[in-house]
Amino acid sequence: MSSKPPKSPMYLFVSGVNHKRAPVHVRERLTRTGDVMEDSVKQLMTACPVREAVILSTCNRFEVYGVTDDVAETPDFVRPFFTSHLGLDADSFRNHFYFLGNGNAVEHLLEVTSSLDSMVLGEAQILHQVKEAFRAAAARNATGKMLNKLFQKAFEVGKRVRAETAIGRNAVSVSYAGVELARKIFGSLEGKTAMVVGVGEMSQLTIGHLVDHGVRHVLVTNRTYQNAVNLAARHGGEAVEFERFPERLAEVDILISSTAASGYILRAEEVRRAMARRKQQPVLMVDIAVPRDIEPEVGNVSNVYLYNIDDLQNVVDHNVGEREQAALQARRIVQEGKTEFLEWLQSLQVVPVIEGLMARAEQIADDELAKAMARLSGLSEHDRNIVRAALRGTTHKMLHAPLKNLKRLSQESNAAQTLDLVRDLFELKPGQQAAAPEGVKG
Amino acid sequence: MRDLILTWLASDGIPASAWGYRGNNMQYLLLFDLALALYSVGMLLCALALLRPKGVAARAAWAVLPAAILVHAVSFVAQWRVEGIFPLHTLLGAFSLYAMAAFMGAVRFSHSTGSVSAAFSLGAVPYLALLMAFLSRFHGVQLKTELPPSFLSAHLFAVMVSFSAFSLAAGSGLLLLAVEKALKEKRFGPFWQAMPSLEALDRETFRTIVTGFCFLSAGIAIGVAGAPQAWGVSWFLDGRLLSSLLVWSLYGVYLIARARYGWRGRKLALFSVSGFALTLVTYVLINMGKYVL
Repeated sequence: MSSKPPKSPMYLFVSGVNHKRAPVHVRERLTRTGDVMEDSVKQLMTACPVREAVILSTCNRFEVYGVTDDVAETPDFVRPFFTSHLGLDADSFRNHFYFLGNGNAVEHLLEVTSSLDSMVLGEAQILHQVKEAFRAAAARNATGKMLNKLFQKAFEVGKRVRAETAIGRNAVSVSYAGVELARKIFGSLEGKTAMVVGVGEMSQLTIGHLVDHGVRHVLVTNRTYQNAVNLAARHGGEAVEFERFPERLAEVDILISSTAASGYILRAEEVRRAMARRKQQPVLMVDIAVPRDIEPEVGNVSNVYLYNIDDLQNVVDHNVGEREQAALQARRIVQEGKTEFLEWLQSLQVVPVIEGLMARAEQIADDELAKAMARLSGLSEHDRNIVRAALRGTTHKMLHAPLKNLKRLSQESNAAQTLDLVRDLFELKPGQQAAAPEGVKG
Repeated sequence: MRDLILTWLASDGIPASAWGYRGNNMQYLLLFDLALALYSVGMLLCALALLRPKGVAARAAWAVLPAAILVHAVSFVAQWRVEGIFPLHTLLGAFSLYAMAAFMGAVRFSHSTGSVSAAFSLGAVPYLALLMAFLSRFHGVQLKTELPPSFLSAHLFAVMVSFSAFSLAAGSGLLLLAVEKALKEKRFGPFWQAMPSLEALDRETFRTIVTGFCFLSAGIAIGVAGAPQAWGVSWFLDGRLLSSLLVWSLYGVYLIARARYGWRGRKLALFSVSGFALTLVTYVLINMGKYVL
């Protein structure tokens, strides 16, 4: 067995800024496109003592996950590299960058993929963004054994959290709450007709969500007709003159209203007539205007479900509360994932010792075999192979039980002392062991 | 297998007759008991799915409940084969058929709406019927009827299936009322989250009523065809026929009102519940009272 050059211990870290530590005017200066970030990965690995690296850049975070063997210098090289590489003022970022090592870094990544560290708790996009960042780094050969394993664990934990908890189940924005209510009434929104009365920002957001969920026919009405035409064009819909929109109510399954009118623009009587024309098929009406656009009496009409802005906010508050409950469960899953990863990391410590032991035993066997062969000149090649195999088999069988127990002991809290003892007992030289990660306790 | 089970029961000092096993009935009763056990597991899984609608319990329930229905159907056919007549002449057979049809409807309903929790809510009454079927074996209650045997099986089958459908529609109507109330009052608890959408409940309740109406129509038609032989010239004055026609007319009026005036949502729910209440009175108080010895 050839001996490997000695390696220093490996150190896992994450460094960067996120929405908790830096205001938006700081974060926005770090946002870069995918190509720029992919180049940065390679340059970071060239300029700094980093063996593996993944850069995650989203609206709310900029983070470098890495593996280094220069523990002492690690906290200092990442920030200066990025500030200079991206042409930023170093002083502006000094107080916003954080640095976490080993166990804390592992926990941080698992919380990120579980969306526990997101600005909106439980949002679904982050897992995909982390996957993309990892894929980009892997494509540039910037990841190795440690980060591959860590990110696989992070994806596994992220998926588990979404599957086993309610962290992403319900809407936590007012505009999306309207979609959730519509789905609770209609199930699928495929083929449904929605009408937007007034082209305020919230209406536009809500109609965007509805179209994303299958609403195909959009009617838009506004006092300024041209604004209605513009918004309708954006969603492939139809503009309706404001004075005539009650006539089209019978076609509408979902109505979103947000005008600046000072009084009601839709009365219960008009809605009753429309309901009779549409044979009582249910309608969701979302009134997000203040003052309200729709007469409250409309809520008492059969098969009409009327929600105002406060109702939607209550739905959101309720859902946020549920997500916070789910987050407690999610944190338990994260801790399980962290423990599993750290156990794996811990088990790496034993690898160089095992390699050293095997190498030493085989070296002794080879030396003794050479001496014996010199004295056994009458043996055929076949006989020599039998003797060689017998000696090697004896060595492996002798080592089987100690190596098995060594693996088990490496998971215990005093593993470092145990491994030192084995090194002393067998006088293992540095050249007979591979690098072992140190300081992996969380 | 049969001998093995008998030996096992005897080894515990429990005679096979204590479980209702007598002679050839053991073949189908064992299958029935297996089906009952599977239904019990399925219902438990559905209850767990209320806590986590897309969890492992929900997925397992999708497998266990259809398996229970399959074993139940095999036990029903086995009973038919062993006894040589369509097994609706006992309370066991009547409750068994009702429960099987209702569970089939509940599973189809859940599959269609994507809510396994609905199967739990809709399966509660059929599950009770199964327990009654289980208990009825110890009493051997026989049903009697004046209808000629050639009409009896088809008539009872159609009527029991319609009864199952109307009971399912009533259960679905109650769910619809609960979801509608939550939407109107804007109160959303965990139960609400696990329920199907309002429109899905409306659609499935309506379909179930249509199914029940078709089977009831067939059951009445078969009954009328055999009635003169049973009750002579004044057959049309029989209380069971008249009450069945009353139920049939009620549901018929609803179907017309739905098509013409769009009676749906809360109206449909209230109608399905009150319609089933009338059905219950008709079948249980009038029919069962006359049939059971």
